[in-house]
Amino acid sequence: MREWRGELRNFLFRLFGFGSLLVALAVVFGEPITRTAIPPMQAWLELVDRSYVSVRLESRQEGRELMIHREVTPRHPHVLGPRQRIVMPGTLIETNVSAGLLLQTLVLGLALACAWPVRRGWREIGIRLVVASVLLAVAVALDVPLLLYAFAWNSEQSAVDPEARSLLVYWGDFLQLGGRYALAIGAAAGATAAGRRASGGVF
Amino acid sequence: MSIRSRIALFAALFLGMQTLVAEAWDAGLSAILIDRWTVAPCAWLARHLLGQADALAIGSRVVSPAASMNVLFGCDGSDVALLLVAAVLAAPLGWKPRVAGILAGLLFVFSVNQARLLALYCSLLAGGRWFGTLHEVVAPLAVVALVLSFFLALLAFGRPAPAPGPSL
Repeated sequence: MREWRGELRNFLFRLFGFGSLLVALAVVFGEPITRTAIPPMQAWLELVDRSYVSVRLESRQEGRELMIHREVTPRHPHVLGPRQRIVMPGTLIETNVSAGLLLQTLVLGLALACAWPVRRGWREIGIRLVVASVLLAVAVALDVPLLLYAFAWNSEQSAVDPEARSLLVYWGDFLQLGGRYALAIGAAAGATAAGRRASGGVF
Repeated sequence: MSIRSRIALFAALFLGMQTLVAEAWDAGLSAILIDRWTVAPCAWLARHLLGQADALAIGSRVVSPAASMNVLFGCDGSDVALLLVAAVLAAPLGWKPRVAGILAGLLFVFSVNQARLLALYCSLLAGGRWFGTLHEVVAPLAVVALVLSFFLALLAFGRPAPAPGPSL
């Protein structure tokens, strides 16, 4: 029991330390990190978003928050709702997502991956950080870009058929209701297990 | 139960509860969770702890002449509450610590979330310069770290004692 308490206390100290450092980095480098993430996000959206074409995707300061702003137009004419309203290409839809959502996953996942107890020294930490970065990049790709897609879809759908639900809207709800934290914690747990295994330990 | 089975149970419980909450959201749950259980206590705390005598709970908003804050879907702490409840239900705990853990955990999440909202409200009172950073980066990390610590402490203290071995 005493050992557990000590380990928990040390884990919390490390989490506080790494968390503070990563938050400071996110505050200082938040804008360049977001700007760097825009081109791969654009490429990813072109691949997964079969409904809309991006007219504009950029980071911009809106009031007190840095936002990721996307303007889209339908890729092809599509029919919406029970009254079969046809939406034609050329219609502009604007969506915004806070850039902090992108940083949130990275900061949380990396802080947990760094703070979890290390059994086998620097090699384990190195492997853990590499795996965490890859897994967190996947988590971010499943988060902000798909939210931008979901919001565009939802803004059209809710105007003509508020009862209708789509997989995208379910995914958005999943992320908002703790799914984003679950992805970050899962990425950190996966990286910790991989680091331990690759450095010769047993998970 | 193996660790893989527990992870699968956690995922199933988390997704199941999430679906229930999302479905019930528009059917009145938002008014209960946000307006009554989140915004009203936050306005009360703002009046009594921050000295904002004019702070009022109006729907999903905490409103005063100095600052106004809108509490949205996901800002009521239900996100971490669902994660915690699913984790406690799937954890290797006896039924007493499990029930106590869920009840105490929900109270803990409520308190942490109220502290988070008050901190955000204070940042608005101070001009709002740090609102974005606090809202999107600092507060989520702090809330998850605190709730994770609660869960780890519960695991450490509530684990069933190992069965006594044969005495020599």
